[in-house]
Amino acid sequence: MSLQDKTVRKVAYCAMLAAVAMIFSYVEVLIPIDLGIPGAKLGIANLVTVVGLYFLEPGEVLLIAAARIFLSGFMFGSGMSLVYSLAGGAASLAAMVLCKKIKGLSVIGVSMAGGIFHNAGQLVAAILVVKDLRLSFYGPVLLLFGTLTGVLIGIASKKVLLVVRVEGQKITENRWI
Amino acid sequence: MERKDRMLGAAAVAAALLLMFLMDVCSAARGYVPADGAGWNVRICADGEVWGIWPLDQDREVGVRTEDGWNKVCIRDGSVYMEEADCPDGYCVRQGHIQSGLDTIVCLPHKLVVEIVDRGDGQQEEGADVIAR
Ligand SMILES: [Zn+2]
Repeated sequence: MSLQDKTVRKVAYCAMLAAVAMIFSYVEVLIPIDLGIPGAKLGIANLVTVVGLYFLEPGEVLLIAAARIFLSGFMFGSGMSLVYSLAGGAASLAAMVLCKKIKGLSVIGVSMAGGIFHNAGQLVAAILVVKDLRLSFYGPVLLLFGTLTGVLIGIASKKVLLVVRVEGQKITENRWI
Repeated sequence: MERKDRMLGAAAVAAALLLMFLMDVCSAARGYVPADGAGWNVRICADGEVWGIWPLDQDREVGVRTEDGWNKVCIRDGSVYMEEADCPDGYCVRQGHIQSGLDTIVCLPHKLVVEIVDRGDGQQEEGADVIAR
């Protein structure tokens, strides 16, 4: 396969994943998981980021996540929601890229770290926006919730990664997830 | 799930539970709020600034209009809740009643925080542009 073909494929993968992530974001807008905790949501779109991390470069995953956050922020978001999504997305992606380097941590552990840091990033953004440190009292609940959603997204990602084929080859054939 | 995954999960859950316990200790150290709210105040902050302070043991409705939007806070029977708001998410209304010394109601879109504070934290009523019934 020529270099040009490879680039075309990469672009196609990125566009496809960004589109899937957009649909997930929209599904989440349609069925909001309401816990009465500001900022807590399931983050189904994060599934795409987790899956992407296992067969694309970190930079490409960043591109997909950024495209998804900006597009869904403009389309379904309101007011400051883009700021929270960006803070959560950036913290989550950074944590997952780092955790993926840790030997022995599977896709479920990586996704768990993503869930935790997603909520942490959003909480920090919220504290900065309302300028009230008291919001940190939501920390423990958000930490628990982030762990739980991280595990759920991780399990789903693992199921996806086990069946997905890239260029006719299963992802799990040449790497451990 | 691998061993390290379980370790990470266990550490996160343990940290959350420990923090919750510490918050309870903190709350107890500040003293419990009696059922009728006597001796405690409700403080509303908008965009980091104190908007107003009212006694928790006196029923009233407070309308808060800022450049971000409109909220109606209700103080009733020693507890506080957000009765109405025109924010896009409506989380603040669904958060329900709060009545302990560490609880807050947050309206993120309107940058509004409603909290229960010790009466020593602020005595004066400095609510401007307030509808109190
Ligand atoms: Zn609100």
